[in-house]
Amino acid sequence: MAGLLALRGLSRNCGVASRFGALRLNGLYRVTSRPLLPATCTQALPPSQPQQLLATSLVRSTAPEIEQAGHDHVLHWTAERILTLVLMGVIPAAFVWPTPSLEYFMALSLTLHSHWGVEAIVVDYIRPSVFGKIIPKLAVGAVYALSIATLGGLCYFIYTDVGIVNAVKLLWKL
Amino acid sequence: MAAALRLAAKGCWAAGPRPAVLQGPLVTQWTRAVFTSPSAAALKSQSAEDYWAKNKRLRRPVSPHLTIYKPQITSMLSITHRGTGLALSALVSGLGIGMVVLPGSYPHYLAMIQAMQFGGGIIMGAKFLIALPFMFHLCNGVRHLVWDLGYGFTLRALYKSGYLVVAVSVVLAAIAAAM
Repeated sequence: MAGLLALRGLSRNCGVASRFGALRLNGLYRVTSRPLLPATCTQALPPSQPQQLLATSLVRSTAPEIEQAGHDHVLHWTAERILTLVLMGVIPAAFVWPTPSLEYFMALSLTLHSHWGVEAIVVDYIRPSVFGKIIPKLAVGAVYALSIATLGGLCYFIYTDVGIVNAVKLLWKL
Repeated sequence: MAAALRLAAKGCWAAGPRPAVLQGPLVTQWTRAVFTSPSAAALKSQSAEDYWAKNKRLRRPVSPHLTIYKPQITSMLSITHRGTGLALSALVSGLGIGMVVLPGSYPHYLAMIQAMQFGGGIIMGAKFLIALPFMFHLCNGVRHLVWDLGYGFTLRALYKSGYLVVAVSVVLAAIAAAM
């Protein structure tokens, strides 16, 4: 409880995030490259960047998401949460009503959820500061290729073979 | 006066002269910093150097992190959530891409596994090992969504929900393995 109040207090001071910021979309702050930043607003920045208050040699604030995306992350984040909820509904539904349309929709949701997850992992660990400029971009491209191949393969599997739900059911009958 | 002299003699920062911007009570300094834009001179001396490039240039060491931090339920469940997600993703991609690349049909390969005639215990164990990452990712995913609504950030709640997620995952995986 005290922790929640402290968090609330922080967000009030910073004026950047609210408790329901993501859902209400009123936290549309932009973390741009600015030379000087207020000492209190440490929430707004990616945690890896230091803030120098009165430095003579000032440093650009960069982070993988900002470098690669260049726009705010909130819409994507919200879409991820909505997809998670959809997926949590689709998987049991496909098992209860095993129709082809639900199967295809489940394949799509599953692949998209997995794509966003793997992309986040790759962006987090295959960083320009460690791997240079080219390899991170290639890695993200590889994630896209993998996800497209997965979706195509799953659709082929549903069309020509037993389908995902039946695959699990048959495997479980062993 | 004497204290200042003593501090200055020791070479202590506390006593020495310093620029005007760093004088005065801390509250004044902070207010000045928050509401002052950098001067033209400061902006001119600003290099557009990347944080990582600068520290590499200065050959500064990185502080130890993973090697020294004590494993805690917060970080361990977090990385497990990521790990199970990655594993499940590999499974899904394996199924999708594998069934295109491999010549036979799914029932064909199932029959191959059946022909190996594994014991009931091994099959149940295998089912548990497949179900566990899925159930953990599901339960911890719900925990994440609860956080996203803004609840459960106190340390007590984090630890309680963490242990609950592990327990529920094991129970659900056991039920799935028994089916």
